[in-house]
Amino acid sequence: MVFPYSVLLLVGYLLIFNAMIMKRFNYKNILAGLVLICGLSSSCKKLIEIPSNPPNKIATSEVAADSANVMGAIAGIYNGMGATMNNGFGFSTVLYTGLSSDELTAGQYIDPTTSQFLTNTLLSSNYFVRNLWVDAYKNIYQINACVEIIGSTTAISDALKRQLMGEMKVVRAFYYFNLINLYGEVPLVLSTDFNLTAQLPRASSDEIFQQIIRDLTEAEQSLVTAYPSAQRARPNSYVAKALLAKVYLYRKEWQKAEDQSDQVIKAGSYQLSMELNDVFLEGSTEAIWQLPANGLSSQTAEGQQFVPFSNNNVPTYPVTSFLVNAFEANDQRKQKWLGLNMVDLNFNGVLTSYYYPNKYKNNRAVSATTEAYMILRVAEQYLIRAEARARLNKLNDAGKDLKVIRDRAGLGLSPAATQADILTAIMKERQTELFCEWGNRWFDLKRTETIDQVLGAEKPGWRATSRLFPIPFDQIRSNPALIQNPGYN
Amino acid sequence: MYKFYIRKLGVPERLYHKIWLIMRLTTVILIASLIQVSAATFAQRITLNQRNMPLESVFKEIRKQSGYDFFYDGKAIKPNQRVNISVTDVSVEDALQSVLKDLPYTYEISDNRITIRKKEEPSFLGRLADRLAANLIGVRGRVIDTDGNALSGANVIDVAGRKGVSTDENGLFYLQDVEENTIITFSYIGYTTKTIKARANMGDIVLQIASSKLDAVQVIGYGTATRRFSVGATATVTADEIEKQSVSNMLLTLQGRVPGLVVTPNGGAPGASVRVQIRGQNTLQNNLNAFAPYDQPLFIIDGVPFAPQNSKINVLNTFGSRDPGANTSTLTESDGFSAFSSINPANIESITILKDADATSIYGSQGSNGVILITTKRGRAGKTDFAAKVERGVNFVARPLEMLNTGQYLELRREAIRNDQIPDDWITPMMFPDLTVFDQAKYTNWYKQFYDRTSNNTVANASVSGGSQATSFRISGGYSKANYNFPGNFADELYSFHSSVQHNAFGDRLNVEFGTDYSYEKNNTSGSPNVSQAFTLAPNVPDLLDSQGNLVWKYGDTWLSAFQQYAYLKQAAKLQNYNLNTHFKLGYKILKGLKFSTNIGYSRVGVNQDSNTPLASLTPQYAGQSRAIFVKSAFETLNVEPQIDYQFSTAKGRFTALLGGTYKKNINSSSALIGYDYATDALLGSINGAGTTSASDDASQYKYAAVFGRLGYIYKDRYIISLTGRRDGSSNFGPNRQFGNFGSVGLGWIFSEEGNFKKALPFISYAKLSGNYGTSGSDGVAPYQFQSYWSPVTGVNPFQGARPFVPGNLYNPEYSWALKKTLNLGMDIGIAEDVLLLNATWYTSRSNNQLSNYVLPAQTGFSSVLRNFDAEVENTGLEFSLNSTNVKSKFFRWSTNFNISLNRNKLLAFPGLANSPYAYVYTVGKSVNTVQGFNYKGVNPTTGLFEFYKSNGELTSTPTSELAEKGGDIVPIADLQPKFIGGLGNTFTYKNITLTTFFQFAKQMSLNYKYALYNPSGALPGGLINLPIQALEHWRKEGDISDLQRVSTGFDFQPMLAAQAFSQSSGVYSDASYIRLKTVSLEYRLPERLSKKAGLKNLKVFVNAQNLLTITGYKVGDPEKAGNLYGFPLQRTVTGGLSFNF
Repeated sequence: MVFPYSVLLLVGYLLIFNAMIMKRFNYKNILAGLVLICGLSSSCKKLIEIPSNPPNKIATSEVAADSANVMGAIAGIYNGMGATMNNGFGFSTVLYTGLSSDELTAGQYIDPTTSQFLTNTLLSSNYFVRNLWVDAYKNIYQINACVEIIGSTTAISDALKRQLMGEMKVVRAFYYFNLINLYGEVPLVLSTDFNLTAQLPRASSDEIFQQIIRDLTEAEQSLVTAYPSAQRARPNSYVAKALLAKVYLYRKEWQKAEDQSDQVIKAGSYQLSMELNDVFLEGSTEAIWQLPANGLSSQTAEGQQFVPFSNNNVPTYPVTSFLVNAFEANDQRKQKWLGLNMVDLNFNGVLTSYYYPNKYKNNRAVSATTEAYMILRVAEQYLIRAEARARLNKLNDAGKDLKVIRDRAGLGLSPAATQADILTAIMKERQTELFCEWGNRWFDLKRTETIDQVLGAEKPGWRATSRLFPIPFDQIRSNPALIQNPGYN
Repeated sequence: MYKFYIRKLGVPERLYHKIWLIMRLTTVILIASLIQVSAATFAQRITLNQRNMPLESVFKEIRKQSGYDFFYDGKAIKPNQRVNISVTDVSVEDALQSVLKDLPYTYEISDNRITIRKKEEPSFLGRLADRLAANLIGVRGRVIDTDGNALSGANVIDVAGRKGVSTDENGLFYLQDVEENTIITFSYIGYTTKTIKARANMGDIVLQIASSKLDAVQVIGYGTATRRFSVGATATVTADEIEKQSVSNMLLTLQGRVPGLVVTPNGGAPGASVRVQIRGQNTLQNNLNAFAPYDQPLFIIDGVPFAPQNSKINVLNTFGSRDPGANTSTLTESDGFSAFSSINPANIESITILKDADATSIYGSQGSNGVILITTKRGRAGKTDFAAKVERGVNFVARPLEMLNTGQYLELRREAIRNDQIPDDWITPMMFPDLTVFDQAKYTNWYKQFYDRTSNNTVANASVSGGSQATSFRISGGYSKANYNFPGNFADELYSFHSSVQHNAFGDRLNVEFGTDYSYEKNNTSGSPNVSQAFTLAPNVPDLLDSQGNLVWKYGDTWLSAFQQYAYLKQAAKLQNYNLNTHFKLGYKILKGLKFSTNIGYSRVGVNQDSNTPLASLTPQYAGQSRAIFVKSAFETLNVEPQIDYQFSTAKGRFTALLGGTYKKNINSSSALIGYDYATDALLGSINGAGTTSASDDASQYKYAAVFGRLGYIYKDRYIISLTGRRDGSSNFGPNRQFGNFGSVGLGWIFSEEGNFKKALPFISYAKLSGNYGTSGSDGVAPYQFQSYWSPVTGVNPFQGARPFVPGNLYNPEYSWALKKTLNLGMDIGIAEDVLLLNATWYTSRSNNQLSNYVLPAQTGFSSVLRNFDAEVENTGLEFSLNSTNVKSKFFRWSTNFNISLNRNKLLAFPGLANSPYAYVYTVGKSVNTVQGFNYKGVNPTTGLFEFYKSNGELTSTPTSELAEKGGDIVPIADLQPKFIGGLGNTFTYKNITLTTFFQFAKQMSLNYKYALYNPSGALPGGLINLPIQALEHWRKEGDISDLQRVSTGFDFQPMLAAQAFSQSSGVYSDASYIRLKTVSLEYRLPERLSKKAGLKNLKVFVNAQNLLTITGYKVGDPEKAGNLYGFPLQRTVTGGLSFNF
């Protein structure tokens, strides 16, 4: 292509040159030369043609054109939730809210950036805070892109479209629910067009919750009760309900919370696993939403990061004495969901105890059991229903729900009788049942407005403004419409 | 080293011109022969002194004095024409000649009668007859240089006879049928042309090496030019400047040598990349980092665009290729390995820097950031010459740091704990091992352990060159090794092979040239980029190696995992760079003056990177997995450029024309294999031993096509016009936006050639005014950005059987060229036969339709989108350079070169700036290198915290992170554009000794060491990190006036907030001006009789030193690598060696 092109081009030039330089103003020659050059110049376009896509990427239109590709895009979203990623959305939420609250502490020297969570001295430049934000919005973009693809594609059936659309809305609601609890009001991005989304300010809390509820309600309607694929990895309608129950609980819409959790519990598909060690295994009977944790080098990030490699090691992130002490005597969860390393720190025979989160036990990819990454489980639904019922003054029913959880933990009936006591008992039960899962402790302290009282007593230098993570510094910079949370600069 | 010098206009070329051209050429030469038609001599003498006298009156006067009558045709001759005449006691003929010398008349004397006629051009036959009548002889001789070496291939030309020959390999020539006493010129590239009258045996003709920089040939875009007739801003650095510098990266040899060119090393590690910027920043940055952005010029080697350009070639981040502290996962542009370290500086003949529109418009959309043309060495006809050079030396940190000792460190830590009022139960061995567990008396100077040592450099080069006028060649090989100044077996080694062959056939009508540069570079280093800050370990950290050199992981029961820096030295990383640059050039003279040529070139840089993480290097504390990464990447460019050159000269001018086309294809590709969980560390070199593996790859393609042209005309050696143009097409742009047009107009006026100039100002030998205006563009963006793409995620298992996809970029089909318009005005003055040459240049450029990865908030899903925006950036500057031969005597020679340049940058417009991500970065009306932040006041003597001025003038330690105009406290605080930069070089030669010194200087603001101390992602002073001794100057108690705020462990939020604000304040910027003795070279050439005994020629011994001395007020660290305390420090290098030929 190149060679004949250049030769012809040169012939064109030569004709013109010949005509001009030799002073033979032969207009025919000039014209012929010009025609040749111009003709070839238009074939310049051909010269700079490249394949329509790079070998390792496909255009959005090609994604939409093939059902397998659509499923790939959907898979990307679940993968992006980071069941196996140490810096993924899930583990980051657990670790950073755990350190910020009273669940986790440092067993080894930790880097200054991580230690900012522990000492509640977060700077807006903290890049873990940033990564968490960026990671969430990256996935929200992909969700929105998939919503657009699902809406436009002709490659999949209407039934599948409805199912996938429902799934996308559940995942989107899930992200916004976590974001608003971590950062407070955040920009509500529902489209992929950067011209529309780049300058969005923080949406109001109501706006965000309305969107979450709208997404979940719509999802609940378009999803069916059966899971669309193996295990409980992709949401069915109960996932939407279960999340909705949690959202209503946070919104203090007790009746709705009770209704939703009630439906989930009564569905019959979800039973508490009586063996605590089985709760986080793949195929757990109490799982409502559980992502496969099949990383290359590890299963769950929690397993890899929390469980020490040897019995003699001080864990990197041991649980705090506050959490350890929250367990009542004989609480089976303390035995089975906390690990214990006894370490002779000073070679004097004196052993120091270090407890660490041990819900996920596999710290390698290859293990005797296969764990999966729990997002929602029915135990939480019991606690939601208990709390909602207690708030609605259905103390008896609340007590029954509480008993279900305590029974499983090997504990007796709670002595709590008054509404206040029952609520306190429920909160304690949430602390010991849901610790190191999706920031529940941190979020609970905030939504119940007990955070200043609890953490103020436990942590030096606690400030009320620490309840929200800062909006990442570079995000404030790259979107002047964003306003920082109080207490940060 | 030799230079290419162009022959002065007008002589040898004329020889080749066809008669039809000659006819129109000139009659001047012929006048003389006509005038020589002699007449009888009369005794009468004429004396006549008159100005402005009518011709008729002159004739009358001569008639009066001589008695001759005058005859002329009143129509042909204008008797009222006024002439000047000034003769005293001369013959009639002389008087007439004097009168008529500037007039188109001739005279004839016969029988007391003088006939005045119009001059007639002689007929061809007439001239032929004249010549036949002449006395023709054969001429022989030998052309040699001042050393007596034969010059083979020198041109020997009989000007009048318009014929010539070349000397043979012994410098001998024989020229037939030459008119006796006619003028013979002897010319040779790089030598002053000599003119001698012909005689049969001319003996030895000695040619001097040309010394005028004005006529030295410079390589320019698609051709060559001389400074004398250039109307653009170009500068050339030649081999002899390059070879005196002991640097491994050829880009560093340009430091300080070219006005307008800023060259900054990114680190002192062997192989580290180098930033190059010409005449300021044109484009807006694509990230919001504190690091100043920079534009990359286009790099072309022997006519072929260098495949990787000046982008980093490593995929994996390794020690030395990346600075620590940048904890984000993205690489900044300043990081990386440089492809240019695989080019042996010894193979470079010259480097030309093209700066303005006249020089760069011909590169169209690729030219807006300037162009750097690298020309490698070629063979020279002549006796086969063997040359060799070996050099060996040491290097050490140019400006080492002094760190706190244990006592100082621990006291500072305890003070921080007191300041922070940390409850005792938080002071645990986990959080404060240095205070609770480690030996309080132990002291290790980690800086000494890691950096305060010397390492070695070795360079060896050899070459063979020679050939005849028809075929010449050069082959060279080189080896160099530069060790990392760091414990561990880390080094950069380069094996290079260069060859070049030229052949001329069919009486020089056909020229073929083929050149190949192949090199293999191996850089052994550690896979951990952050190990360069190993020396910030607390000074009482226990020994990390046992007596056998094994890693120590535990101190008592405390894990040392967080401190074990030596482990990273066991994580070997290797970068292998296979660099092939090859070009084939075919030229054919179709007609005299018309030449067709094609340059076909291919450049490929293939990089293999391996990085191992053996289990043995991992702490047994965690469930570590061994890992090995294998990355292969390649940058390829295929470039085809046919072109037609046309030249013709007349008596008054020279016309040149060039038309050409470009086809270019770039392919970049990379693939990575990662193996985990090896059965044994011994298998880490292969993917086969891995327990699990993952793989990924990436590739992109870019195609480019263009037509370009240039027209030049030089009239009377004094008026110059130059026009260039280019039409470009690039696949980087979306449909319908792929093509762009660029062009320039340049004018020059060598006013020293004007009439009386040289009489009036005889000491000025050369004076030129020149200017040009034109456009160039920028398409420096990644391919495939005009659609949105999805790619499969690698390194993960499928999700329920589906391979996960992720989106790769945002959708924006509408972007196209960035456009830059440049105006350049220059003046050149040569004084006293060009012994002193001065150049002053002023330029201004405006870049608009900015094309950049526009920063976006993460809420859009991405951090940027490729788009055009309406911002306009102006760069205006002055450049001044001077070359002077101060003393030139028999034994002593002293020459000086000096340059200084200043660039002022200004953001002229940025619609919508206030609501854009750039609001905190740029201010309209200010330099794009301006930094915005808080205005630093000092440390509050009461609180001990950093304090800043609020925009209302009040003081605070927690300024509001918002622009002043929006009620915050952010204001412009510093301009990081250097105020001026420059260099001063001196060369002294006394007999056989040559001393060369080169100073580089810059006046600039830059980050200071405090930025590193208060880096928000690191520990504060008071944390578990050792600090430079300057950290002692901190606030301790109320009333202290101090440099740094109170120390803190990170438990107290107030000092953290103040520190974060400080890191964005004027407090972290200070003057980083410096004068650095960049190069010193002392060379002694042994007397010829001594070297002859050894069978050698030109035996030289030398000592070179780089970065020997720095004068600066910059306190801690290196001003050339400002603010970067913990990166690999710049090195001072001293080498010695010898070179010889035989």
